[in-house]
Amino acid sequence: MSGFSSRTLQFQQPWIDAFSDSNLALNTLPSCIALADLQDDADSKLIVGAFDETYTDAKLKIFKGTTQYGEVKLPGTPSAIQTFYSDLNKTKIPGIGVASGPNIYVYKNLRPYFKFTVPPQSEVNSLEADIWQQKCDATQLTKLLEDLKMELGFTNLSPASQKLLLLEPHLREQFVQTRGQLALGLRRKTTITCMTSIPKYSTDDEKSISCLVFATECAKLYFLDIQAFTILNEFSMPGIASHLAISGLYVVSYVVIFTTRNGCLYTMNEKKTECIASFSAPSIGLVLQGDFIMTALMDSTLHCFTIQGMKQWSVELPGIPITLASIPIMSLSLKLVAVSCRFRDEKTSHLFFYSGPQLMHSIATPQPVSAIIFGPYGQGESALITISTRGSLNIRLLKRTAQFGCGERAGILALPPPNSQIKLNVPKKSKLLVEQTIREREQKIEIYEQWKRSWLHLNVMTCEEYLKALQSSAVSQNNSLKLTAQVLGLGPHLKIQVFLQNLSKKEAFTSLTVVFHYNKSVFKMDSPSRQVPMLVPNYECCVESYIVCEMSVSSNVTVLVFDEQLRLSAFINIPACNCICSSQ
Amino acid sequence: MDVFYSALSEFRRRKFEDCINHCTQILEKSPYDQAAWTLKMKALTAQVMVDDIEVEEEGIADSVLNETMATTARPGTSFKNPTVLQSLALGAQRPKTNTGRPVSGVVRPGTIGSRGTLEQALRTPRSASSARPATAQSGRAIRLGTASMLTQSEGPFIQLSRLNLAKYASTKAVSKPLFQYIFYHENDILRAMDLVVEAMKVCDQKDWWWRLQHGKCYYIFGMMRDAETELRAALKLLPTLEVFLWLTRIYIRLDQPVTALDLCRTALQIFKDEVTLLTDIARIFEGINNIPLSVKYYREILHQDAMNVEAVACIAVHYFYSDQPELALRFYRRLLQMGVYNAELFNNLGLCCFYAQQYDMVVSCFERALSLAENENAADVWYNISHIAIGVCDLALAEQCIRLALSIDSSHAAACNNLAVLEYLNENTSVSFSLLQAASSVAPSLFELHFNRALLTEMVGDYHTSYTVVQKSIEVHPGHTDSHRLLKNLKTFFSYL
Amino acid sequence: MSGDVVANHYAGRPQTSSRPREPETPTSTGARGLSVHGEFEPLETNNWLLHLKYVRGEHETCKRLAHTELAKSQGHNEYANYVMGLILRIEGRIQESLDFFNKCRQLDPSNVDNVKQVARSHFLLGRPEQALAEYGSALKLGPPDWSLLHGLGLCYVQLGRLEEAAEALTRAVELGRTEESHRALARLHARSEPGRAIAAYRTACALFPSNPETAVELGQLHFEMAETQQAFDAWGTALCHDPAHPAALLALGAEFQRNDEPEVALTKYKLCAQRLPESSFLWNNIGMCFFAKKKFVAAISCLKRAIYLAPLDWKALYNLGLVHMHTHQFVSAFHFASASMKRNPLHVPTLLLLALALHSLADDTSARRAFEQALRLRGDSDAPELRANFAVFLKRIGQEEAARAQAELAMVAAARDPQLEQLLRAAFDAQPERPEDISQIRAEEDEV
Repeated sequence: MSGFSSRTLQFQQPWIDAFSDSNLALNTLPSCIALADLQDDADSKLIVGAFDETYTDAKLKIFKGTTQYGEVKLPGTPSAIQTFYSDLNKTKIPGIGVASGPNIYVYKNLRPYFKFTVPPQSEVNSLEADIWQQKCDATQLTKLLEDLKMELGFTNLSPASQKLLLLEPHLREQFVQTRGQLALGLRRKTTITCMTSIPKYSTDDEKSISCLVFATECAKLYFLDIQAFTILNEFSMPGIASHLAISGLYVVSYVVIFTTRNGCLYTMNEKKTECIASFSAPSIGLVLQGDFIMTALMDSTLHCFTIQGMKQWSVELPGIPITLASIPIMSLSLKLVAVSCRFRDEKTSHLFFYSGPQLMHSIATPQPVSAIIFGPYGQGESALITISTRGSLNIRLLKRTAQFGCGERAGILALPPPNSQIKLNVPKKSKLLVEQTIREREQKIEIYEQWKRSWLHLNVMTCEEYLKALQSSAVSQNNSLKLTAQVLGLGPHLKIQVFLQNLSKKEAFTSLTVVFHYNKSVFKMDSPSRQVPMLVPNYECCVESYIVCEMSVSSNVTVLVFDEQLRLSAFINIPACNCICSSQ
Repeated sequence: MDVFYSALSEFRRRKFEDCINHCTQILEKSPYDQAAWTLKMKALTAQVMVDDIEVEEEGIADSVLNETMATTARPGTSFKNPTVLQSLALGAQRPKTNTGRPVSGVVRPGTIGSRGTLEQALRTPRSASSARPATAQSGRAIRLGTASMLTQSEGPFIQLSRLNLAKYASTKAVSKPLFQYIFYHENDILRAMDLVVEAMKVCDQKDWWWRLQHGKCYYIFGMMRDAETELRAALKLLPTLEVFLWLTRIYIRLDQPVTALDLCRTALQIFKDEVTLLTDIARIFEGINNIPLSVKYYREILHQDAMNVEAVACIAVHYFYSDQPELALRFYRRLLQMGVYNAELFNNLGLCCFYAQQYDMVVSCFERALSLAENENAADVWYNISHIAIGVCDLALAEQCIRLALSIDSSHAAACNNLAVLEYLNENTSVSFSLLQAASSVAPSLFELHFNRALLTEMVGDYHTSYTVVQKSIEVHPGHTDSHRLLKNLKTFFSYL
Repeated sequence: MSGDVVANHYAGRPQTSSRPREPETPTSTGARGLSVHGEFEPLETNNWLLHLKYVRGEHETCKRLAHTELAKSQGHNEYANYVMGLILRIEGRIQESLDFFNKCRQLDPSNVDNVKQVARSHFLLGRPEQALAEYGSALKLGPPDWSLLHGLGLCYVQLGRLEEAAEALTRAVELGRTEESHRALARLHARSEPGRAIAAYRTACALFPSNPETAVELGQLHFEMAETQQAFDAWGTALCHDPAHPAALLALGAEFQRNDEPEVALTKYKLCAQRLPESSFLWNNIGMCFFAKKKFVAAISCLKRAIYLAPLDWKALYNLGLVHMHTHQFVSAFHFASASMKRNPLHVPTLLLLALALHSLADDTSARRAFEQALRLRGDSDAPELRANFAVFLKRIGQEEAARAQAELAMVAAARDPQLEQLLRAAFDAQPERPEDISQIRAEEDEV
């Protein structure tokens, strides 16, 4: 079988497992990791913005080789980390830009270097501004703002108004006074949601000067000059950006690509904004490779567009994607996209490598991968660094001889086996069957006659039984009433639940009574008869009653349902209970 | 003839009543006749003795409250989580009982046991006609307690509280019968335990029999680990079959089928081809839903004991559910020849005849089954007749049969499901819906109920219910492609934006 | 942390304050104090994190964070409410999810998304009228959005207002060009206007070529319109993207089977059985493949499995009857044919099969009734095989006259087909032991 041997062919794993530490508890996000040659010693380091468990505090951790090399406490939770070169000095020391809240903190040599704050928004509803202008007392102010809230919605008020409304009434007066003293405006601080960088003058040198580009919660996009820390450009966006990428040169031309929270993909340049696609699920990440935009969605699909907005392809991912990253392998002139996937059963997780829509390779990971970064690390040129959702760090180095695309698909994605190997599971038949067919052929007429007669008999018998059941009301007339009973408890005190349902289409039962009929020597019951409220069609009613077993014998209780006549009856078996305690 | 001699002879001939009378006569004359006293004790014990190795029904409280193991075990290592054999042979997907265990060939203790949440345990097994004791202990105590009450109208034979246990423990001839009397007849486990302790002192803990009894006492108190150590010690002293069987029982109670299997295999090396051991293995395999292996062992049993009812019945069921009703028919016929004569057998014969296309016999089998059926299994017989009616597409008859089945057992979930399908075909969607809803609360382990309900709700546009219900269906039967397809369609409405 | 002294640019204006600030400390309970610059920590500070956790599927963490945010803002954080709503919906807790969305709407009535989610929740809870009203109010809030119109269309479909549904979905397609809208529109058209449905499917296939489901549905539609070649192409496309797509395989297999290539069909079905082990249609078709190959035992096994899976499927019952007729098991043949007849009393071949089985079981009265019923159903139209069989039957029960009349009618109906003539003559002359093989009873095969 030639098909078989080729399937078992062992392939060369292209990665060397260089380092793995599962005790680091690195809680991070894909936007908060970066690789950079921090000291210009041709030894690239890993920068990780690590959160604490509650996402209130964070640290910047630097890894060199297999050890942690430095750590800086951050003043807030970082939403993005970006390294950049801002000067033309001979020793190229990159800056680390950490976006947190409205600020970008810049670190150099692991020391705080600079802080930039995004200007607050000052667009305030004129009505609201008027109200604040009126200088009335707190109660009046609150009342006016409450009215405005009803009209505009709480979210659209300025933070000052929001604050006031949320304060306890007795604190409001003080608040208004303090504010008055400080003469504060109604501006709204914003938050940076995502950040990237664009080379300013040239793309030839990786270490050339660049600009930071970031988007905010107020749906604005800013270009920041990092030499002078001035805002170069400011754009309005059609929605709040969740992921951001940029291509081009700042001084020549550029295209900003971003996805919004409501699942749209946009491209934007100085002149226009264009919606390339609106998805039915939000994007989990964005990767730009040359002219191609790739994004994975929450509904387990991977899509590719050109930067001009043409749809290229889309594939269904084998699992639920967590993050994706670009893996450009220069030596093979191959551009892969790595997607980390989790599976619904939570048992396995994989890294899948796509080249275009083709799945080229996959790695099974013990824990789902939360963040991926690929690039030079240490002295090595191509390292794949992954951080799992449970905080372990893995570093894999690309083998020089690595090959992709030689049929090394993951086991779980195995193609259906060649057709010749599939066996159709046809039930087997024994010799006995053949014997039986012979009998059937020989005695066909007898069998037929017998069947016809006996079947008629069965029909008659069933009808008789049914009639009997109708007469004893074991089956309800017109099948209009349905009764189910349950016994709850361990005994000797038991609860009987009788569910009555009216299945008829029109009829309503007005005066039903449920009566329990039982052996008085075995059971005791407080209320052996119960009135049922009116039963309208399709309504289910539950009648509950308590019963006490006085003897440890299993027995049964008959439930009778009446109105003018007996409607339905049913037996309930009561199990034997351990009621020694009650008998003594 | 000597009165004691005749008593002894009557004991051997299992005429216990007469034996007891004779012994009482002797004891009236000479109250300190130890021989007569012992014989009477033995006779009294023999009257009520049950084979307690035969696994008894695990009580509700025992199965739920005894949280000895992790709740999610690996498939195949626990009875609670039987392996889902994704065999493509469809027939292998056996129907399940209301409590979610695959149907077995014989009803024996443990086959109806539910292994789930406390609520389920409290409700499901009792809502149906199966009455399950609250605890294993109580189930037996009631049985034995009443038995002893009936025999002793003139006061207890032995005043246990006045007995000097240490003295009797040292007399070898008396100690063991006395223990059995206390254990089986009086059912006073605490005192039996005291006696064991005394006896162990006498024999310096070197008697396997006492160790076994000690283990049994622990078992009844639910102290499985202590019972295990006692029995292991007994095994070291002398590997006997009884000890092996008791140990297996303990592991089954501890929900460790794999250990139990290993134990049985070790025992099989000592006691080659022992039927009880083979039966245990086969049962455990069935319990973890490994039907092919279970059937293999049942076959082995038939080699040793061609008249073993359990083996024949289980193999027959296996054939029936693997699309070979004609073979199943042959095994059931064998049961008939062996003298089994009950409603279940005729019901199964009828079903096999129908599916093996032996139409002339079908109805007569079912008629006999109905005439033999007790109240409870009559529901099942009617349910099966409804299947025949469905097989010939006589839907009106099928409906009548199902209604009859439901009139006997109002919580017969499978019948409810089929009735719902028939009502749906009659375009009574709302009735169908409420039937399914009621049934799925009774038997959450029938995926058909959930799937049908999901389909119906999806059809009327109640996507919310459909979404939740179809997920339940997948939980019960993860390989059900139609459920997956429905879920996939629904997902587009629910996810994301 | 002692930093290098640098200038801090604040909105372009140089200032003197220096290093990064430590996080502000709360001054009063539940509310953060005034910051140096006088702005307040906005409620939406952590929205980005909530969003990221949500899309990455870390719903437990996300819920925890959202609860913290909601506690901090006394329930006034709109996005936290929104995310909670989304997660609860995925978990299937629609009512709770609706409560969160309603809260969102209260917080920002002008946000279309909030209204949209409320409408969607109503739709999922099976209240299309309410959903319709909500969608209507959402449309008033801003420019039309594809998702609103899409939702609107689905509601109309649910309510049976198909024209309005088509209108809404068409607009949704124009605005959003999403796959869902295209498919919803195509499905809607498929109900009444197959031509437009095909056009819609074609656009969907062209725009989203990678989804095999669309191609399969297109193929099915083509097939129903008897455009076999196009159907073939569509299924082929589907298989290109998913070589084991069960529905496409089943359809293709059935097509091969129809063209008398049971071997090819079987290879397709084999693949298909891997993914669809519980489809009665599949087993029915496999059974008929074996039947075509004259492997009767295997055919019976497969057909019986089909019936086990769908006991009331008249086609499988009929096929089973047919196979048993061929194996001369007339009782079984009668049994299955009569069962099939009860499910579909208007299918003439079933009646013919039933009649022949009954005749073989010597129940000639019933057989005759079955023949007559079959002829009545056929009307007086041409039914050569039926009449020929009837003729043979009449002849064998000794009614020569009627037999000859029927035979003559059969000949006329078959336009003097020499083969049939020969068969009939042989039947009349040689008195064969059993009725001739029912020459043209077709096997019923199923479509997806």
